[in-house]
Amino acid sequence: MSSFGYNNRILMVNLSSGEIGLEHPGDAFYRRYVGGANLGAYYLLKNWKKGIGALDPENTIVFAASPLTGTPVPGFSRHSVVSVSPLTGTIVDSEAGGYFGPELKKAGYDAVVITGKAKKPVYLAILDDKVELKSAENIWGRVTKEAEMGIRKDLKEDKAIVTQIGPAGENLVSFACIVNNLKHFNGRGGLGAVMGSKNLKAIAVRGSKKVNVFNEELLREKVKSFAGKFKDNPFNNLLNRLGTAGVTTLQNTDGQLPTKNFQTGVFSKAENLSGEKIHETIFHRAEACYACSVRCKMTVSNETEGFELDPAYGGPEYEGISALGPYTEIGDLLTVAKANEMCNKYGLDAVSMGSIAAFAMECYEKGLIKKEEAEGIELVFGNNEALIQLIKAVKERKGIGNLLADGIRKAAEKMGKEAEKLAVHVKGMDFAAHDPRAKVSFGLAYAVQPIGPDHIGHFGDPGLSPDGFDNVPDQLNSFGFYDTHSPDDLDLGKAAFFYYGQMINSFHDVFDICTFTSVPGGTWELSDILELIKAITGWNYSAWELMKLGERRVNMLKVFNVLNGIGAEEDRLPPRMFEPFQSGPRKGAKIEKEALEKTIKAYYQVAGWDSSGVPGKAKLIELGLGWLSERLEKKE
Amino acid sequence: MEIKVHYLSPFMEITEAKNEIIKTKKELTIAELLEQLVERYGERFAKFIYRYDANKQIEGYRVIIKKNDYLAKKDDFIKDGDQITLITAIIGG
Repeated sequence: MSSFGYNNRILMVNLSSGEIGLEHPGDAFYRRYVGGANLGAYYLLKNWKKGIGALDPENTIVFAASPLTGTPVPGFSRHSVVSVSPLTGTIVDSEAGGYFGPELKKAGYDAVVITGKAKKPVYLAILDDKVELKSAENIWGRVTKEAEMGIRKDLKEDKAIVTQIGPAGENLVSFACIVNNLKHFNGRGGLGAVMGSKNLKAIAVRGSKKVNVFNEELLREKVKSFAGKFKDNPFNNLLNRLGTAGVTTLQNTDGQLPTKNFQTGVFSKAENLSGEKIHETIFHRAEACYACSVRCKMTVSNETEGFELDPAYGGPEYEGISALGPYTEIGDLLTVAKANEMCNKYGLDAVSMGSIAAFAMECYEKGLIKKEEAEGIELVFGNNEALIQLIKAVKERKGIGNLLADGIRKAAEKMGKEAEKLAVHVKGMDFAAHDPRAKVSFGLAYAVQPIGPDHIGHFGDPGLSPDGFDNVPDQLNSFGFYDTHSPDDLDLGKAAFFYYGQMINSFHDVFDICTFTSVPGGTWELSDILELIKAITGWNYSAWELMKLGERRVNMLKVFNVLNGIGAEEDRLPPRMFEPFQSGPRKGAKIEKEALEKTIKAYYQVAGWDSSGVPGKAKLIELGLGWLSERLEKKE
Repeated sequence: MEIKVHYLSPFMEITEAKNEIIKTKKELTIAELLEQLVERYGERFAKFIYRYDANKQIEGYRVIIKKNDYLAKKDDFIKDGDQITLITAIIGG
C-alpha cells in the first residue's frame, strides 16, 4: 500500500438497483479534497442535478471519514454526513464523534456514497470486504437501542458499530438526526429524514484492519504529548470534569444563555441544569469518543418512576440542555434529561426539538396557536408535561406535531406573518445555544454560513477585546491575522476575523477533527495538527494549505446553494436578533441591522465573492474548483 | 477592603472553593487581583488565567472576568464589596 491515512476505497451503493461498487479516487484527489465535509460535498455535487430535493430518491447521502480518522489520536474520531437538507434546502455537512468513522476506516473504506431508494426497509452491513444490503423490516419503527440490538444479533457481531435513524427519521421529521452507538449525533439539518426517505434504517460496520500511518514513532510521540498539554488547558479540563454541560453556568453568568425563545439571556433556574448539578445528581460515568482522553461525554442514570434514564443513551449536553430547558423555561433537570433521552431514542435533533417547542409556546402565548389546535397540550413556557407530549407528537407527526415536524420555517409560514416574527432561524435552521447579541460574530456567522446557523462554524468572540482581555488566538497569528477586535463590534475587521475563524473550523470538518481539542484554546495547537498530519499521511502540510482546504469547503457548499436558488436574500438574521435582551448582564444588547448588512458585504469581499455572495470564477479556479465555475455559468 | 471572588469550573477544582473573600488594604485593579490569585494558587492556576508565548512570557489572558453584573476590563478598579467571577473563555460554540 502506498497511501498513508486513507484507503483509496470509496463504497458506492445504489439502493434502487441494489448495486454495490468501489471507486479508487487516487492520491491527487485525496490531497485536494482530503475527506469529511469536502469529500462528501464533492460526491454530492457530482451526482446532484437541479431540481433534486432532499427527500427525492435521486438525492445522494455521503458518510465520509478523513485520512486522520481512526488513528489513536484524541480528537480524531469524527466523520461527516453530507446531503441536501430537508430542513433548509441547502447542502448540509454534519459531523459526529463516536466510533463509526474509525470503524469504517478499519473496514477498509474512506466513505460510503449512497443514492436511490430501497423498495423496503434495509440496512447496509459492512464487515470488512463483505458488504451487503439486509432487510430492516423487523427493526423499522423501533427506537434506536432496540434497533442496534436487532442488527448486532442479525449479524452475530456484538461489536458492530451501528449508525442509524430512529422513528423520527422514518417519519421524515425535518430535523431527524443520525446517531452512532446511541449517543453520538450527526445532529443538525435533518439528515436522518434523508435516510428515512431512502428506506435506509442503518449502516452497521465492523473492521479488522489498522489505519496505515506514515511515521508510527512520531505519531506515538505526539499522542503521548497530549496528556501533558491537556492538564494545563482550562477549556478541556472543564469538558473533562463536567462535559459540555459545564458551559451552562458560564453562559448564564455571562448573560448569554438563550431563554424563553431567545427573549433574554439569563435563566433563573439555570443552576438546576448545570454540569455541577448533573454531577451531583444523575451522573452515571464519563465516556469518550474513540481514542480520546478528554472524555467529555457524561452519561446519566435515574430510577425515579416516570423519569427513568438509561445511560446507554448518553446524557444531556450543553446544546440540548439549553434548547430543552432555558429556551422553553423548563428548569427541572429530570424533565430536561428525560426529554433529551426521548430525542436520542427517537432520533430527533434535541436543539431543533427544543427550539420548535419554544417557538410553539410563544405562539400559543400570543394566541397564534389556538387551544383546540394544540389538542390538549397546554403549550405554556415552563410546562414540563407539554414538552414531553410535544416530543411524542412530533415523532409521530400527530396533531400539532405534524405541523412542527416540518421545521420552524415551514411551520411559521403556514401560521402567518405574526408567527414568522417569532421564528428564530436562518435558512430554515433554528439557532444553537449561542446568541449573536452576546457574541456578535455569531450574528455574521449565522447569517452567511451556507448550512445555516452552525455554532461551530467558527470560534466566536470570547476573549477578544483591544482594551481588556486581548486574546487573539495563536492560530490566527499563524495565518497572518494579528489585529484585535472588540467582542461587541460588528464591523469590517470583524468580517475578516470571522472569515479566518471560519476557515480554521472548516478544515476541522474536512479532516474530521474535534473542535474541542483543536480550536484556539483547545489542547492541540496548530503546529501539533500539522505534525500529526505529517505523521499520519506523510504530507508536508502548511497553514496556508489548511486555509485553502477550509476555503474549498465553504465555496463548494456555497456553489451548491447558488445552484439550488438559495442566494444572498437568505443571508439574514431573524427579527428577534434586532430586539434588545430584556434582562441580565447584557440587557439592551442587540444586533444593529445596518452594521450587519455592511459586514455581510465586507465578508463577501474578503471571500472573493461578488456583491450577491456568488463565488467568483477566479476564486474557484484558485481553489481547483474550476468545474464548479462552469456549472455556475451554465446554472445547472 | 473586602472582595468576594467566585470560582466556576475549572477554577474551583484548584481553589477547592466556590468562592472566597479576599481582604486587601490597597485598591486593586482586575489585573492585580489576578496576580494575587496566581501567587496563592500556583502554576496550574496561572496556566488557566494567562496565555503564554513560546518563551513562556505572558502575552494575554484566557479568562473573562465579571464584576458584579457586568464584564470587566483588566484595568478596571475593584471597590469594597465588589463581587468578581472568573469565567473560562468558551471558544468554538
